[in-house]
Amino acid sequence: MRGALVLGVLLLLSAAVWCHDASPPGKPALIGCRSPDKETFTCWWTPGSPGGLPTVHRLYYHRAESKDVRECPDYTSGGSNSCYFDKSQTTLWVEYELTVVATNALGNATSNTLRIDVMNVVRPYPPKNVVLQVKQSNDNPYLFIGWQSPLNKTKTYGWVTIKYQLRVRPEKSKEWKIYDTDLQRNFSLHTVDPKVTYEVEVRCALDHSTWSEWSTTASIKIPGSSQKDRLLWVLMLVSLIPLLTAVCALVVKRNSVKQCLLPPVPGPKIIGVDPRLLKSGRAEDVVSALFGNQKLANMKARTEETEEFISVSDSRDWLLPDERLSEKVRSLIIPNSFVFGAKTQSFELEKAADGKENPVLDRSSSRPGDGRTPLSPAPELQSLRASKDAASRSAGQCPAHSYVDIPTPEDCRTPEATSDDYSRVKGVHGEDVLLEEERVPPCPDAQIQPANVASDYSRVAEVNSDTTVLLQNLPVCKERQHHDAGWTVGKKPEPPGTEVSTGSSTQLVGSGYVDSVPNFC
Amino acid sequence: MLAPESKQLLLVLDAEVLCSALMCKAVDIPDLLDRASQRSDKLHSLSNMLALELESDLPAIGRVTMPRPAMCHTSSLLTPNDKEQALQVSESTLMSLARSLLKAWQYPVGVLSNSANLLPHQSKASISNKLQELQEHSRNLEDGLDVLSGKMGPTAQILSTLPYRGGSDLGQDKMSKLINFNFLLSCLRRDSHKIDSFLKVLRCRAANMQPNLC
Repeated sequence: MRGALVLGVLLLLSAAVWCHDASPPGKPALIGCRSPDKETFTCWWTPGSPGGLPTVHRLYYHRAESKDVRECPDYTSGGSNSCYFDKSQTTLWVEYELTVVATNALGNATSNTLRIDVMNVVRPYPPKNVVLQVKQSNDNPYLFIGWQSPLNKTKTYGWVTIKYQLRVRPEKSKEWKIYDTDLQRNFSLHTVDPKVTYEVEVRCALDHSTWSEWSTTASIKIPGSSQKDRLLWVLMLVSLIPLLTAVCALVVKRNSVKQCLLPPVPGPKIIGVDPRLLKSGRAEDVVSALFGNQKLANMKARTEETEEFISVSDSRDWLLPDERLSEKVRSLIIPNSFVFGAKTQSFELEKAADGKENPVLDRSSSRPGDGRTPLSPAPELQSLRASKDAASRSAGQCPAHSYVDIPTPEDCRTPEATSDDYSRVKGVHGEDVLLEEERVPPCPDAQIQPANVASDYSRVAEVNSDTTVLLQNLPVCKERQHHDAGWTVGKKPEPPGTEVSTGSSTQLVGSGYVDSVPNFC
Repeated sequence: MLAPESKQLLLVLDAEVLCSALMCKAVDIPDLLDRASQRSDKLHSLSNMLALELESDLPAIGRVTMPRPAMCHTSSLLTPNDKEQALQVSESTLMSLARSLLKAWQYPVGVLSNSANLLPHQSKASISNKLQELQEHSRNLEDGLDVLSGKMGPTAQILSTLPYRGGSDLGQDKMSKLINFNFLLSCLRRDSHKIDSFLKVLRCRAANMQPNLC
């Protein structure tokens, strides 16, 4: 007997030594319960500190109005540390009192008492299989969202009425937009933008229970191309066709377009100057271009002389001593009928200046029908004469250039073509200036400028009145036509209604200035 | 010479007689049940919100001392408590039960509505509004169910009396007021859920070929 007792004590001690961590179990705690379908419910607890020994947990419950304590019918269906109540065990609108007892070899521990009404713990699970689809409606994309009830049955407005709620947001946004769908298990969202990814979540509630958790997020990207984009592309292509046509037309007709947009600029044409010679750059070429065939002589003297010619201007502001002179000068006809160059000519001029009117100045009266150009007395010719005197002094034997003012150096020779476009004055007879026979001048080469450039001017056929001079219809070279700007036809520029000429005269409109190209021989 | 009111009543009665004689189905039962369910749903929603609102502010001591739901004045009424039972009980019985519960709350809801302004609660204005709305829904549902029960048979006409013995005063002190308010609202929430569930089962059963799937 005593031996057995000692043995028992020894065993206990050894057991105590062996498992020195063993203790009665800690107190478990009931967390809560959940009914996902208003027909069943599950309760969970957390075990207390383990006693080191195998512990058994048991749940006991009783309904409020009865004293009948029952144990949990199912410990496994709900997972670990749970108790599952099936349909037959579930009663609504009745209070349950639940407790959990943890037991191990050394003792037990009882949890808190949990009172629940199943009605209050109804909370469904989230909806299942959320499906997203992009569909088209009138060429506009919309998002179709579909899901399934968490409950197995399809009838949802009998014992249980389920309602849904979904939320949508664009991927990068943080704000959800919530939509209620009540009993419907699908939803169409039309306010979607193309090329945007959307996230969707759905949840549900039974009657007016607590909402379920949000379902797993489903996302979808709305495709970018829409009918609008396609239309845009079509419009762009269509608008390109006329553009291409225009470009082709331009390419084909580029020459005429060029002609239109960039008309050929007339090259500079200085009378007596050959631009080809200028271009070559050689000194002798430059000189010959500028001075023509005449020899260079007395450059110094020439420079002085050049200042002595008449300055003619079409502006009234020009400073001239004599107002009348300025007017006359403006309408001065130059060499057409007045050949100036030889001694004889200057003499003739002087002669004419003596007391006769100078018909060169267009105011002079002219007899119509005359083939000659009458000279009218011109007091203004005094100054003219003065300059001519100076010119003749220095001119020497220089041949005709046909410029009134141009002083000719001594060794000037008359170029052969001089006489082509001009009529030589044979002599002055009374009031008339007799001209030589006129010849139709040949058209010289445009590029080769004879010294006198006589071909640029047209001859006066007749001076009609104070305001009119008739010109001869000379075959003026086409290339020269644009050079006529410097010569007047002998009309006053002011009166616009003035008849310039009649018949077959060439109309020349000019600014009235003398082409004062210094002619260096 | 008939008074105008009686004239109106006669007209209504004539219409009813005419209607039933001609077998007209101006508003049939499923449609009426649908309307009734919608109203009961709204009623339950309001009572649920109220109960939760007040419960959150109740101190722990109040929760402990609060009477148990078994103490609700309507607890004595035996009702189906799960789906199987609800599907087994006859439709008329379900209707009768729903009507009885509704009638039992006519007076207490009035008491609650009147006491709302004296309630020591921060959002008593909102509570008062909800209670008034609830009262109106309750009255409307009662009238509707009266019409429905008339079409369903004699059993549906039976009304169980469930007297309220709480009195018009919810308590003298602040804590009593709060506790009693909470208790009443919790009872109301339960009963409004019952009414809603029963009517929805009735709706499902009336509209379906396979009522057992409700």
